[in-house]
Amino acid sequence: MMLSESLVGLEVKSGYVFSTSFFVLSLIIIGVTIYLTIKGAIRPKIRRLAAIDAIDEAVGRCAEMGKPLHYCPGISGMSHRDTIPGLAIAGYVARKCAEMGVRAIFTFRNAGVQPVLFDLVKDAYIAAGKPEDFNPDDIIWLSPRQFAFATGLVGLLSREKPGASLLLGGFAAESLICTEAGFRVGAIQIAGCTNAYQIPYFVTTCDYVLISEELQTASVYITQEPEKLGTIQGIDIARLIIIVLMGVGGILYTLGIKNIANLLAM
Amino acid sequence: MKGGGWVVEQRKDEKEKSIWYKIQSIDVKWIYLIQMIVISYPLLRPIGLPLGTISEETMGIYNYLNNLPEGSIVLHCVNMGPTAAAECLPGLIAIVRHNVELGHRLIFYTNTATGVPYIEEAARAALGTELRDHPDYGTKYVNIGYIPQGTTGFSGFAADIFFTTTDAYGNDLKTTFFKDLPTKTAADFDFGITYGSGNFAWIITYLRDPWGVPCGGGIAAGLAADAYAYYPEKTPGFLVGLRGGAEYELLIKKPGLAAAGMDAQSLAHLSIIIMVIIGNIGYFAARARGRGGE
Amino acid sequence: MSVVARRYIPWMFVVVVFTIVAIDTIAVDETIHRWASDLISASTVIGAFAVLLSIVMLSRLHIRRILRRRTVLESSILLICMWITLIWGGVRFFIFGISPTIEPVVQNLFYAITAPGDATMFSILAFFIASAAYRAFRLRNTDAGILIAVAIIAMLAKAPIGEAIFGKGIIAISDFCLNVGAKAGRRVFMMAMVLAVIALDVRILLGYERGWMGRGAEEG
Repeated sequence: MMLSESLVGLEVKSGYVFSTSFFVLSLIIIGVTIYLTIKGAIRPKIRRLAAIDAIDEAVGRCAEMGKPLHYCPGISGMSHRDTIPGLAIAGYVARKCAEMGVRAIFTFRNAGVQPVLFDLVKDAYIAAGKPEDFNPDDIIWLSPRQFAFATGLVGLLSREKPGASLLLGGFAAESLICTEAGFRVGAIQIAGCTNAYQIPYFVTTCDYVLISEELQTASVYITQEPEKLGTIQGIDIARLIIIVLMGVGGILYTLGIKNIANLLAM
Repeated sequence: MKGGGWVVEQRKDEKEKSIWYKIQSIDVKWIYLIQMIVISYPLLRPIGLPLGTISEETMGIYNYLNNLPEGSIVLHCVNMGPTAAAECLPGLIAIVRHNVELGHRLIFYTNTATGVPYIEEAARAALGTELRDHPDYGTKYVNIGYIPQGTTGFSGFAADIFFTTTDAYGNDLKTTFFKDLPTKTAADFDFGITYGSGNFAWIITYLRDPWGVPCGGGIAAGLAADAYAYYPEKTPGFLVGLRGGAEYELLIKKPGLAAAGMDAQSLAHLSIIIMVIIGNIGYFAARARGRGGE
Repeated sequence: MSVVARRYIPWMFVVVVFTIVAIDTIAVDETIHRWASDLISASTVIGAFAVLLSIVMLSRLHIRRILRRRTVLESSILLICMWITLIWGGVRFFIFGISPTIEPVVQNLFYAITAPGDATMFSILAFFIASAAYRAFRLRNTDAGILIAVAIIAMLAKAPIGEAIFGKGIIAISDFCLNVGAKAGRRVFMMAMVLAVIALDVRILLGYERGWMGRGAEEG
């Protein structure tokens, strides 16, 4: 079958019609908002994320106390949705630590993250003008197993007693073990993931938490680049459409009119 | 800025520590000791609390499996490791026993390497013999074993059930009952169940929605909120943690590990509630004392 | 390595793979499905090589630690010995056809060391939850009060003791909280996360998000 024939007249699978349409609509909206933001027609703003603002203060605290800073971009691999924002923030944190002369210890669990994290951190030190301060032994791969990683991290935090522990990325059941250990050594903790089950644990043990999409938005918040801000504006518009559909659909469904419900189920 | 801690700050000029401050800041080692005693005691000397009402979601999966005719194919996705096994393995054993009683054909699969021994353990408990040594292995039971790459690997298996070409023991899959299936895809399955502490949504996304196979779960209690989002529209039911396993064991009238653990679960929950109450008593009393002193 | 190899080639690869797999997820087409299946099989193979990479990297780390007589030497020696044993299990599979599923040494290592170790660390969560709940659950305001009340109801309902003390009413309240409140909250989280992931994917596809490239992110 020729490529052109297979792309034209594609039959959408049953149950995917609405979701596909909405996905395409979202892409169009995001594309338009990116264009408008680059052109300066709109100036999206992200509300203040206290956790990201606290990163600078956390690095400062470590510099004052002469303690290292710990950062973990999550336990997941490169294919996880949280790892990329975690790595983006890792580069920012590495640069801040390099500028302020703070020793930064990076830990990770998935082997695929290592080359990316290594390059990001090394480039951050070079960009800060302190390539000699870069220590590859401070990028530590504790274990590929989840709870062995948690055990190793507990030991590391107990020995190194960092002034701050940042856990930003994909986390699972080991999150409470990691944050409780950080709490016990008196480190200021900033954590975030999109795993809704771990966020309550972060909230109870950490000082600042990035909840779900705040983590995804963090890299945009840090750089404030117009094209990235445009994507955030776009998904906010898509979110409004969803809220309206849900609200109106819910009311109509209660009244016995199931058109919108049937549309969403297509 | 402080490094953690939710305790109401003590006034520095206090000469003696008030009992209320101590109550709201009990050293964690005492909390751990209390928990250890409370959990281990009922395991050694069962109290025998009645289980009570069987939950709707457990009844849902039980009724669905009960109504499947003999020969129906049930896929067990044993995606659990040692961490989830304590909670989910009893439920898995109970469901497999039920399937065996009803004459269903079973396929075992896991997307985590640590799930492999639990397939063996569940089959051993339900069949009374090693899975590969059972006379009906191949005709009624097949163990695919571990397929790497998580949902990606499962997608490959669902699209072509001969994806792995051999089962977990190296036998050619074409010698099993797979060869008689009409489409030789996941559409031939009659029910899929996922076990473990992973995301429940994956089986809806990768088995139910694309292939139309009804799905359930035997999932860790902490992840039940994920499964409730799909209940009852997309799943007839699921087992929630150890309690779900205990309920299923009672339904099939074969109490086992899950029922035995219910007393410990009861006391553990009660102890946490009591500690929260004590902490709040100390908090309010310390706050009132602080206000009174100003 | 040039910028083209470090940045543009991975970027185009991501765009092409995304397009094929996304179309295959949504649409019915034989050609696209074949390509997507091949890519999925390829990713399975790549994943296996990633495991090999992790073993090599970790081996180098621990062997270097042993040779330099670093602290915690015993753990490194034990790890290398266990790996040799597991590799022997793999060799027996390839030479003698004995599956690791039934190979006694592999099974014994799992049941004697891995399973208890993982189960112990997971069990520690029970203690940490107790201490975190004791420390953090304070009735500071109305929201916290609602949180504590629902938490207590849910904990009691999920254990037999709740129904034994309070009767079936507590089950009904807990079911309402889970089936209505928690379900609604969970769906909100899911939708918000999906939208954020769409935005992230658009940034990656358009080349705005380059952190995943490592060195390719900064240069050029």
